[in-house]
Amino acid sequence: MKRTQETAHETAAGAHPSLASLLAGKRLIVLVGEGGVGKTSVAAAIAHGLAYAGRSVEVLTVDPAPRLGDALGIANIDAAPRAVTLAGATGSLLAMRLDSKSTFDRMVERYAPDRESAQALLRHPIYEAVSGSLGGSEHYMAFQRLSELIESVHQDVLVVDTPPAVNASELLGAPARLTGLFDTGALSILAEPARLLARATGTLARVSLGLVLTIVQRVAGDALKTGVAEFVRLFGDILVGLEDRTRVINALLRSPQTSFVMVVRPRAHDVARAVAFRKTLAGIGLHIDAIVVNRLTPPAADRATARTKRLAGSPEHARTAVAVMEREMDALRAMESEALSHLREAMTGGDRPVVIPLASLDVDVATLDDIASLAADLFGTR
Amino acid sequence: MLTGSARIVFVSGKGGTGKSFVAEALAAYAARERCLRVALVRVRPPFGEPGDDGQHEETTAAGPAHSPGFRTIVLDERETLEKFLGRVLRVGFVARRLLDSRTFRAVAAAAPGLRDLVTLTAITALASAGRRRSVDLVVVDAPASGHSVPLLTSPVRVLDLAPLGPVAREARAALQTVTDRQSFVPLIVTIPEELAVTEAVTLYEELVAEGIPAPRIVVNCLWPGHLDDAHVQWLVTRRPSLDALLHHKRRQRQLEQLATLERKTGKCMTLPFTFGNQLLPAAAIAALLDSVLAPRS
Repeated sequence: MKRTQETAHETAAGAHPSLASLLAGKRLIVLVGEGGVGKTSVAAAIAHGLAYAGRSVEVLTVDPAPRLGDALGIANIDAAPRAVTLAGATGSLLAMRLDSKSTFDRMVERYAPDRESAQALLRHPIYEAVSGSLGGSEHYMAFQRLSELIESVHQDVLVVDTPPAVNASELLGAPARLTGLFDTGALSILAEPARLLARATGTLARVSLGLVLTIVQRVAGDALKTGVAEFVRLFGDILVGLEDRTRVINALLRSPQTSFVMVVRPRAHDVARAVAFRKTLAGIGLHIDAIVVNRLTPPAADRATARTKRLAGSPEHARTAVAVMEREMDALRAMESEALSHLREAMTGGDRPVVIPLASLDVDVATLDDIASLAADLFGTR
Repeated sequence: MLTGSARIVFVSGKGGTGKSFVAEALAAYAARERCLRVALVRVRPPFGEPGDDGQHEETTAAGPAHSPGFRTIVLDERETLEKFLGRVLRVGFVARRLLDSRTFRAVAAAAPGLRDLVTLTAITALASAGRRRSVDLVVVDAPASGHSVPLLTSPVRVLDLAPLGPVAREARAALQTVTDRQSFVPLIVTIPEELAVTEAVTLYEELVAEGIPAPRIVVNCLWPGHLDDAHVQWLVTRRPSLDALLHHKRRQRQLEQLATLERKTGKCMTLPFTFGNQLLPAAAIAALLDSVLAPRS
């Protein structure tokens, strides 16, 4: 049974270099793309398709649109994964929603030496300021959740829908930025300035480090200095745990069992950003295997035949309006196809991703049938 | 509006909504058609930080050559911080040269809010009153909405951490400007789609909660309506054209999002989707400009 399903996927998917074969054997599939491009729907569709290909799948999502959440049975935040019933599937599908409020705090609680330290840190005024200045704590939370899941998951494959970040490079760079903050030595200088200044080799480094200290003192005064020292002490323990975890995740993200799938909309602006984002990712050693171009306007139906009859007897201005609307739809299709060809042209090199066009359903993805329909288009099994 | 400080129009919104396009169209129109001296300010994030991936939203709204009263100012956050340190701390030239990327990040991390305050101060300084004022209108093409709130709340955050000293003085002045309804007009650009609308509402509520004047909201890319109610009925029942029907349905979905937004934030202004045409109708830009220039009660 399992064999037949997989074969069916492979033959039917001949049109696009098969997404099914691309994702076969992967254990982690990370969806990237900007907010609002339909990442969550595509994640659900990929998970759905893989479950019907006989794999046991868990899909992890962040803030699904209410109706999509309903379709997956995860409309309410729920700590436990929920089984999604799929008729006739050889595999299985679990859906889980990231509780984006408490994960970062949980991380603090987990790595802090004791409860008092954890509480002191969570209440520290600089905690909020610093995590805020690093671009939003949801990125760390997604990573933390990911590493928790890697330890506990019993499924074949985990499909992760990244948070609707301004830019997913923020997400992928988050652990490095957090540890990088401490690399600068700024906070440790404040904790123990004398020791670090003594260790600084070379006049330039010494002047430079001294400058940081001077600036902070003169800008903010001693109150901040004391606060920072306390913060550094409290955060130190968390950092050790986080650094270990970051190494594990970084290795996992670069593993051959991991696949990145980007979702973009067929718009010039989105395509330009996607092309640049692929470069950014390549720069940190991450490769995108597939790009799903989501919500393409379906081709125009035949207009000539039935239409003339139906338009007959209608007032002139209504006919004019219909003609204008049709012209605008054509202009939209032209925009989209230009963006799509631009994307295809920009994808060069031996490791270039597969580009998969996906037609718009023109409804909010609200039921399992909608997800199944997307999956059929995506895997070419319709 | 030509007396006192220049008005600051702070244009923010999520990427891909046409925020930069609207900011530039507005600034260019004000200079060309209203003969105002306009500064369009772009904020460039420093040192490979979020948002600085070498891909800044392209703008094509320029149209005809810019008028003499129009200029673009790119605020490089590092350069701005250097100048600020020179002014406030009297750090010498050599010291400023030492402000390399690591040191910059260290300063920014150790004094949360300072970097944002410095950027904000550079913006408000442009508009401040005085004989040397050289602009009538400052249009800020602000960073993506996630970074707009920290930028506008930086005076409060800095005052919390450091209530006294030279920086506190600058923070108080900036706070006064951004909470003044006459001098500061936040403009949120969004599109009529679920996620963008949710984000716009969040941004609106956060800014209002921080004491910033209530933002104007511009809904960009609204599909035009071509049929009156009677003929919509005709379109839906007779189905003379599948494309026209799809066009109608897409507009209806957008109108639902617009209604959701207006329930939470009040009346919004709209700009039409131009189907790939680079130019927005001048009348739409004029209406937008009138709205942000109108005296506020």
